[in-house]
Amino acid sequence: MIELSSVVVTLKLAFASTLLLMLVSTPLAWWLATTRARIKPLIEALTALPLVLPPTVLGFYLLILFNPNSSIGYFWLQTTGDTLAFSFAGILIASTLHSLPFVVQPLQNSFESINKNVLEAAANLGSRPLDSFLSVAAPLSKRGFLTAAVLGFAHSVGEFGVILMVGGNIPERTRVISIDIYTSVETLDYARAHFLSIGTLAFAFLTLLTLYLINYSRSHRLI
Amino acid sequence: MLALDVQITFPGFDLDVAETCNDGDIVALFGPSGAGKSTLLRIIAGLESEARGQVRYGEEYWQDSQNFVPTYKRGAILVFQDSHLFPHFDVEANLRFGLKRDGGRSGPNWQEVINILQLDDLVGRQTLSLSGGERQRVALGRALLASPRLLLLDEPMSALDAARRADLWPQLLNLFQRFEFPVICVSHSPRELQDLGARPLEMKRGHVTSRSWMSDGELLARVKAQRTDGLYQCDVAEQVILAKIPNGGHPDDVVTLNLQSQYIILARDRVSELSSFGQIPVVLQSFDCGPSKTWQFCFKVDHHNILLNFEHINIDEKSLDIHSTMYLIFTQPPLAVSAD
Repeated sequence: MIELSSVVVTLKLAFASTLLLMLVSTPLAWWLATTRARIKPLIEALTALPLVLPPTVLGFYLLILFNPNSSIGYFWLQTTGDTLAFSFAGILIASTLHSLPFVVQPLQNSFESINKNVLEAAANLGSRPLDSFLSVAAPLSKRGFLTAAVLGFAHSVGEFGVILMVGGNIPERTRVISIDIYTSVETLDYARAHFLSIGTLAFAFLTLLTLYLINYSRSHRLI
Repeated sequence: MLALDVQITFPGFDLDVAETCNDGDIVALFGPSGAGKSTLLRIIAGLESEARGQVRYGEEYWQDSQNFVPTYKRGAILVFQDSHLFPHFDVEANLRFGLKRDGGRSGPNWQEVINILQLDDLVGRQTLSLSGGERQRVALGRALLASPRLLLLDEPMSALDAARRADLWPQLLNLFQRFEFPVICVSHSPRELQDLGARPLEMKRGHVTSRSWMSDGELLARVKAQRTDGLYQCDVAEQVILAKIPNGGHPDDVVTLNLQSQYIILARDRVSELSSFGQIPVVLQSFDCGPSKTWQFCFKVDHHNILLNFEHINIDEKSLDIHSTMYLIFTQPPLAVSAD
């Protein structure tokens, strides 16, 4: 029987980080799509940083931040009795930050493509900003939400460098599929590496295929 | 009562309007394209946060140097020129959108609005399947069901045919008067509203230029002399027109010429050596092709606007330039009466 704890940790991480990503990214993307503030390019650059930054850099600074000697690390330790570094909570935060642009950008694009006049009409008819967002903007951005959630989930599944830096390689705690594959190759267990790699490849392909099929069918239905 | 004294600046355009509008007033806002009519409605609705000045509704300051009441709190409901229906809702959900958010105000009820705007057959339809006229009726219904405190209409019936407009306006006006909310309506056919007792407000280049109706086909002229054939030489815009004055006239009398478009040729240039009863230069202010190919032209002559309707004429719209000088050539002597 093949031991599958890394698959369980990966799925747990992917579902939790997708949920967290959607909660954080939706207001951020809405703000970026609607603001005229001068700091918008700065926030956009910061959000997109994980796209170009080596995961080890982000992981290194998070490791410093999560250290019990830092205020955040200390607060976490005092509150939960566990360290942030080398814990599931630590890799969840790291994974969320690293996948942020994959969720924020499709959401922002989707919000920006909404006809502003329709939002003005909603507000003019008495709809408060949150009501306008929930009753008009969000339903009109369904495709953006779907794309963002799928990309965020798929990217979390494929996370490696930042997890290794922040979470290490602790079975049933922080060892995700990518790290499991790496360990299997290091220990010359190619059969396990093959099994996990093919599974990950098939998952990634099927996820993207599903996304493109949904987009394809929707765009043709609209025509 | 709505009182406003507002300004806004865009590149190459300045708007500066001071106006009041009483409860129950119906204002017909008209003028050429680019005059700032839609922008003025947007300022009143609270959709132009860059606007300066003051907008007051009753005792509430919607906008001044300290306050800016957001559009969702004003109840100044704007019916947009392009309807802006919610594409993800069907017609019924669009109509109910404002009804659910009317802030507890009283207003026209569902059945009344459905009946007046004849929306019965549309309620179950998807918005994407509606024609332009149907969309406008739904947008109007949605606004009325939001129980407006003030109704702002931006060419709300431009896609409807003349017969349906003529049928709808009196019923809507009856509704407006019953609930006593002021209505400001941008229209390219302001005559329709004049007949219903609306107050005119003409805008050009961001400013109010007139608060009176244009005379329809009437023009003031000064009598110069009577000719031996009984016709009178009259001065208009420093040109001589030959007119009939049945009651007689004396030199220097001011008379009103009644222009009848069937006896007028519209030309883009002065025609020399023409057998006619005179020709006068006019400046084209606006034009609009209505139903049955009736063209309504507004011209300026000697600082006065005149409206002329031409029926069944062939004209290339693209060749007409606003503010260009054209000529009215008289093929028959117009009738004139004393202006006193």
